[in-house]
Amino acid sequence: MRNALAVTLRILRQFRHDPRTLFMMIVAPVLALFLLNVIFGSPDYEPLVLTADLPSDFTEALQDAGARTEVAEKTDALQRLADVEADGFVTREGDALRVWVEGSDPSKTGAVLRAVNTAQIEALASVELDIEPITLPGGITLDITDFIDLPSFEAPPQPEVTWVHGEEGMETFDFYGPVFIGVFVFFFVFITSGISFVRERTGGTLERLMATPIRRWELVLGYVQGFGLFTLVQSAIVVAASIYWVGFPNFGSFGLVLVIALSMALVSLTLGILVSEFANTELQVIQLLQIIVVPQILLSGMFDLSQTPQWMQLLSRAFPITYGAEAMRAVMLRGADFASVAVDLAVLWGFLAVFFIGNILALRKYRRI
Amino acid sequence: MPVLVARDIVQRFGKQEVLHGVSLGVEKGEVLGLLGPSGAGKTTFVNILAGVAEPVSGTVDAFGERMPSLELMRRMGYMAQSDALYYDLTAAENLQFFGAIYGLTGAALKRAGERALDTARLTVDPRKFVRDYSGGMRRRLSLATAILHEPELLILDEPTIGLDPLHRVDIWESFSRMAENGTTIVVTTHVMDEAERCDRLAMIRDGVFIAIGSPRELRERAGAATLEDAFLHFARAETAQADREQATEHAAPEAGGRDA
Ligand SMILES: Nc1ncnc2c1ncn2[C@@H]1O[C@H](COP(=O)(O)OP(=O)(O)OP(=O)(O)O)[C@@H](O)[C@H]1O
Ligand SMILES: [Mg+2]
Repeated sequence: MRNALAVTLRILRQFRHDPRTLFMMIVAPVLALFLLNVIFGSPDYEPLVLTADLPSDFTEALQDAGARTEVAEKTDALQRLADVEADGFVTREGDALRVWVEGSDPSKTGAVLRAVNTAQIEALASVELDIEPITLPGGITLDITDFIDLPSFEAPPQPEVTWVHGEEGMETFDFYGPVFIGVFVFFFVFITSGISFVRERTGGTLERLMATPIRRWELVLGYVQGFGLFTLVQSAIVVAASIYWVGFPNFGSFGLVLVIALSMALVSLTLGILVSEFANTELQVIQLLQIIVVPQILLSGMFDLSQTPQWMQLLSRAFPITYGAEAMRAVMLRGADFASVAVDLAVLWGFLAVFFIGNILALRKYRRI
Repeated sequence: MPVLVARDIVQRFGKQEVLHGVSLGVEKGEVLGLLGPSGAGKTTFVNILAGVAEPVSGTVDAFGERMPSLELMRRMGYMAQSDALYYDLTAAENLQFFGAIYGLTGAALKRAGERALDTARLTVDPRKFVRDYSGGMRRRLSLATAILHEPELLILDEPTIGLDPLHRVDIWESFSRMAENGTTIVVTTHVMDEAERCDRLAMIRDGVFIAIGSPRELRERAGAATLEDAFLHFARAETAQADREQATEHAAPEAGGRDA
């Protein structure tokens, strides 16, 4: 135990002498989260729709639906689409609408088609049947509307929406934010701990340590304590910055979010050390990161996996990040309490225990005892 | 009773057998030199002695007990061929870390650190990180971390490599003094004048000991003026014997045929 403390103290000292790493591990994730939030928080894109031969109320309806419009000749318009200077071109062919889209960016294509659809509904709704009274010979005025109701095409009234979770005005990114917090913490802790342990091996200090009476578990525990203390600070700053500065919605308890982030960091730490066992250089740690962490991030539930093949869903269940991401979302978006994420946390701690013991066993390569 | 006994050590890396069953005993207070060319297996052998590597077969006993054992490691000091220091710490912090693992703290640690640095002939700058030290300074700091806890048995892998002649002489004088005080030292080298200073030498080539004895004894047995010539003599004799053995092995099945 005393030896574990010596290792912990040494790691903290190394951190203190290396402000660049400290800066990297705290500022880099916050910066990335901030950039993502600005990107996803920006107003929706207004597509540029060129029009020809359209009635003015349809053009207005397009504008109401969020598009910028410009009148253009067909040949000119198609040229501009080819040059990616506009997003769509709408004109009339006989009774039907004819639409061209530029097409390379699905989100812009979607915006054009949505605007056209909305405008069509609106144009239909604004049609008013207006039948003038008829003056019959003999001065009798007959207003047919006195006898029958004219059909009306009013747009249906807005339904009333109640939010079970979240709130009105949530942006797309708010759904991904909780996952990103966990993923970034995981990612940066993995790199730092993996590289630090590879250095220990390539620099000969690991072998040197094995010649001292330190026990293998003391060395691993020392690492977990040293980095753990550091990742506690890191997680706290990243979570606080995400919620209070970047402005991610958090409907759960800050402390619980922190516990989940820290659990993910500790899993990442022990996994990073274990994986560095298979790397001989710092570059190889990064290569292993690409194999071991990137698939985990892709399958973490950041993207909906419910329609993917069974094997992919099962694979995602084998990855620790999945459980962390799930718990993060439950707490931050749905205000879940400890009891509802206890299973996810237990799985994370299970991974932590497995990796911890794995590290102790991996050191047997140097010394049996 | 010898302080350190290695019996029939075989070590393999993949298919390559690096040590072919070597044995060695080291007496208390002795300076035993392992002399051999690069790639002979010196580092492989001392790593097994120090307990940082497991041999494929064979045993090591230190102070009469089987290695590896944490209790025995406490009484041993090990200096690796690489400097094995934390470059992003100061010299004092490196000493503190290794000292703490041997239970040295506070005033005892400070005293031990000063004594070790003195033995290693190194003056340190309290603010300087080890990465800014010269190669020779790192070597001496590495030595200081190995002798910090005053081990009874010291295992040193090329402790003076990269050092200037003056420091080399100084440090070898420190070894002699430690040995006089009862410390047992196993040291690898490929420098002949250092080998000359050892009480006993084990000459190693291609994973076998080709000769063991005091420098003087070895020179006399080989009828050579220098240890260098003695090494060549034993190496040649070993090669010749190996060839003979191989020849008889090959010849044996065919022996009858040739006579006929
Ligand atoms: N970890 C390893 N994996 C594979 N081969 C190894 C390993 N360590 C040593 N060897 C091989 O074992 C042989 C002996 O190496 P060793 O380091 O013991 O030599 P040495 O006598 O210490 O040489 P030097 O004087 O250059 O330090 C060499 O052929 C080396 O390539
Ligand atoms: Mg060597």
